[in-house]
Amino acid sequence: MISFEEPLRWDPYFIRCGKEFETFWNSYLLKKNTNILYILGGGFDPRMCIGIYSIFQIKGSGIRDCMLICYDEGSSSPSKEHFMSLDINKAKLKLLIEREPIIRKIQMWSSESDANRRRVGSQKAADIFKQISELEKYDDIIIDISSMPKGVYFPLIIKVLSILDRSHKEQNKTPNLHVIVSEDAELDSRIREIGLDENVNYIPGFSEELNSEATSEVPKVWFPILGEGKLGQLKRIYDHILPDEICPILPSPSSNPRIGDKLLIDYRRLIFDEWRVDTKNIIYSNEKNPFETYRQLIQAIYHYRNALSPLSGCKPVISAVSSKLISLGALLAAYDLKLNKGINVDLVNIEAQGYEIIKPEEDIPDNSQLFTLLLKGEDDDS
Amino acid sequence: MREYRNPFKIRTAEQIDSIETFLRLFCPSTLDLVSQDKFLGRVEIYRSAPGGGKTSILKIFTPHSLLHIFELRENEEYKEIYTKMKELGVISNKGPTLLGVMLSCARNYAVLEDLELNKGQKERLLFSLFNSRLILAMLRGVLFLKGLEYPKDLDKLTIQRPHNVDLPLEIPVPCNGKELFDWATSTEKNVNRIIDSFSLAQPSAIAGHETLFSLFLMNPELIRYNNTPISSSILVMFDDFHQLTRFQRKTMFSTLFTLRAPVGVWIAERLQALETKDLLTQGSNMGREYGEIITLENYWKNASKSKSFENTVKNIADRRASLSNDVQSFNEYLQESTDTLEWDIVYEEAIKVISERICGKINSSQKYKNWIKTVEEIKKSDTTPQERAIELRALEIMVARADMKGQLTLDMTLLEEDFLEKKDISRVLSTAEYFVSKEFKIPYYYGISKLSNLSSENINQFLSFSEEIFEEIISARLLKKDNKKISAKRQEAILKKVAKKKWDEIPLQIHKGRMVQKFLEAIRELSTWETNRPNAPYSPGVTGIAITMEERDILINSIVNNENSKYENIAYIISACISNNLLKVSIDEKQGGKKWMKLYLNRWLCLHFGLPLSYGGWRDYKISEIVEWVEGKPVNFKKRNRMR
Repeated sequence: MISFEEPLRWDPYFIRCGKEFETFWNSYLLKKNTNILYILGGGFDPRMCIGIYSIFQIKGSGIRDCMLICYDEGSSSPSKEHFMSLDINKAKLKLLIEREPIIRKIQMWSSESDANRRRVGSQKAADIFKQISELEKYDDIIIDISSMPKGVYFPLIIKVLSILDRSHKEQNKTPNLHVIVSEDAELDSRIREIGLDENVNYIPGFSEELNSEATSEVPKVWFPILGEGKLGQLKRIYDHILPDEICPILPSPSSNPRIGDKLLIDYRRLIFDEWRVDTKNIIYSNEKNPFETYRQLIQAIYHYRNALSPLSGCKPVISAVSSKLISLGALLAAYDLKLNKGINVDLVNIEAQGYEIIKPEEDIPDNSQLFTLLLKGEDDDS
Repeated sequence: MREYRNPFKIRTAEQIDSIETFLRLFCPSTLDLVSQDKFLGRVEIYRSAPGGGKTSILKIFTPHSLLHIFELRENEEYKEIYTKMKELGVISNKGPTLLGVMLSCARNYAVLEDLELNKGQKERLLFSLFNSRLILAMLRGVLFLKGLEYPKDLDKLTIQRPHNVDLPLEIPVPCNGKELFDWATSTEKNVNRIIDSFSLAQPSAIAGHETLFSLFLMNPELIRYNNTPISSSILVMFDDFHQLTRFQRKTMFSTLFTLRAPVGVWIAERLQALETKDLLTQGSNMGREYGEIITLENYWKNASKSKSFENTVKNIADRRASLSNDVQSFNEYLQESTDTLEWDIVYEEAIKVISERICGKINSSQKYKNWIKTVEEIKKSDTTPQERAIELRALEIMVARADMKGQLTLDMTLLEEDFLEKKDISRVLSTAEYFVSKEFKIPYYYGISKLSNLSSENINQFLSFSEEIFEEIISARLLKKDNKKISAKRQEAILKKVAKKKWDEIPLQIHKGRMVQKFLEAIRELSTWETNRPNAPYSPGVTGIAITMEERDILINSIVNNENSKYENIAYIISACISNNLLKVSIDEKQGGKKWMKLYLNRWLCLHFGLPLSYGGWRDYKISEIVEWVEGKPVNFKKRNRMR
């Protein structure tokens, strides 16, 4: 029997946003010499450089290295339309850093032709770092996910965290790991995914449950974290998983207080008519606090494992088709359960082939808010 | 029982219900393409486009299905399928005699290719996964077949070691089912852990297996319960084989052909319109290592099969409707004809206009004077206005045809025979109905038959349209319009709205979606032009294109060998259309001394484009012309037709 009282990895947790973001980083970087590796994705998203600007403009002492992850999407990528925005972002980045960034190019597709190709970006992202020697010279690793697709930042964060955790067990002192994200719900609603992948993707490290033949009879419980405009994604993921129970997670409270209602209306037919979800299964989770989502997911998964123990438990599956911040809750829950509590959770995702900006002629106002989360800290005993 | 507001939206049901539903949906005549020799030790390959029925062919032979068929054999609904299964020798008077072991390849096999391992290691892990999973699926199937509890009763089974087969020592046979289960579980888990590991696996952990030896364990003589073989025969079935990587498929085919294990192996894979035969033909022979590849689309096109599909969807619709509280039958709420007072006025106008047109043409020519009599006879007949309008329009088509033939000396006997030939008349009448609907804005897409046609032999597609019609039905009941049928006009409006929504989703759902739409719109343009020609030469209408098999090879080479890269885009677009069920494909179709790959619009696209719903009419094009369509160059189909 699994107890509800198992200690959570991220309890207490650390998250700061807005003014508190600035206060924290100012005091943190000014108080001592700190060597930083700042990892960010090279994309067209106008939020790409907001985080690094905030950090690098603080005049602390220590190394300030920047790693830029570039995505090789092949010659036919629709994102090539945004090359101008990407060039602008790269130019901005160049002005912000003293040294040339370390470039890591990851191949997003296998080498087969268009008709037969497979998405390999997640595995390549997980392979960017392999051992602690690549990271140990830094005091702080910052992963800025503002301009990274989920298929990249999920495996990247998980891999870095696992390397640091393993190293911590062996030698105690390891770099701290922070995740930074620039959130702007309005901007998110203007970036639309186009050309969904036909097949779902598993985040590397989290694919055992649904693929296991030995436990194929065990019930599958799916936790989709909902976001706007994801009907196609939800349908395809559902068709792949064919879950026995569904617990949708709605972002509420949220910066838009009506978003929870809007999502229920938008997905009403899918959730209630097709999937026949009981309203009691819906979980409401703070959009701005992924640690709360993390906690709620773990609790729900424990609950189902207990309830379904006569049927040999359950196979928990999480899909984050939502904003980046709340999605991190899924990552944390899956990681903690797998590595610290021996409970496998599958993370199932579906990527888009490209993106378009709705009403590109209109200015994009800067309503973004910076969030910083500490995933591994100096006093961490993990 | 739980109340369903709109049961047409349910895509899956509880476990027991889904087997019964699956069996109800399954058309027994599909089994005609399976014969007893397909269960022998040879590889059989089934292909179809998405939703074409390939998984159903496999699923019907699993223990769940066979047991259900046997248990329900006295039920009228299942008698036919039970009889056919008996004829195939897979069910006897005592129960199922075949153990079908089905395994999906849409799992984490392809991921093995992305791990940082060498080719040999990847291959061995691939075999490890397949071996362990086949054995697990087999054990589960055996227990189910014997009415035992899984996994509790595994120890009641015994598994012997096969003679004259080099099995790895690690396999615990001879043993009981539990021991083999534990071994297979551990093997699968080890490989899954390598796949899901956050660090590089130790080489010692990647021993893996050298080949697909589990096939040699698939021998009923070796697997016993109460000292008796568990069945007469075993069939291994691999579904979604196309989900393996190209290298993995090649490895598996090569292994299956080389091993020649004494067990039937079926492979179901998506029909890839543009794929080389290399994977199959290297070192293997059709007839010896594998049977003739069966493409299900070619099978379903038979008219009797489509009637069977219509009956099946009628049954599904009524059954689903009965799951709601208020509505018991779906079909009774659909207006099935425009032969009503409301439309009689329009038909009468149509009769007037068409007959004046015909007379205007034939009055001026001596050669047609007997046809004036025919016009009058039709007008005065006691058939309905709809029938008269259609007959007159059909006559107008025949006049146009005669005109095109430029017949100056009219052989009236020949023309009468032409007009009365049964094969042609139904096509011409069908075209006439379509022309009348279009010209006089009478609904054309309504009724259960058209709804069935719209489904393109795909149940999910049928449900996607009927769910919206059902919404209308329950709304009408809410508004107390209990006995009112959904009018033909309203049905058509609803169906067009669904089709439009599907069309708008294409760029969002498919890579290069806008190019795909351009390509489809070009097919629409040519189909519309050809279909609406006054003499309707391709009645009931053109709804597709074809390219020669030689040109298909050029497209394949553009993908595989990067030759003629200008065609790579088209090759991708055609593949995307097929894999997303926008086009129906059939290959190696013989006509006019050549072999063709035919590409028909999915019927919902015909609805969206305002085209007729029947198959048959197509036009051939060169791939260089298709390139121009996608590049947006306007095509003068009229000029092109004159040049041919």
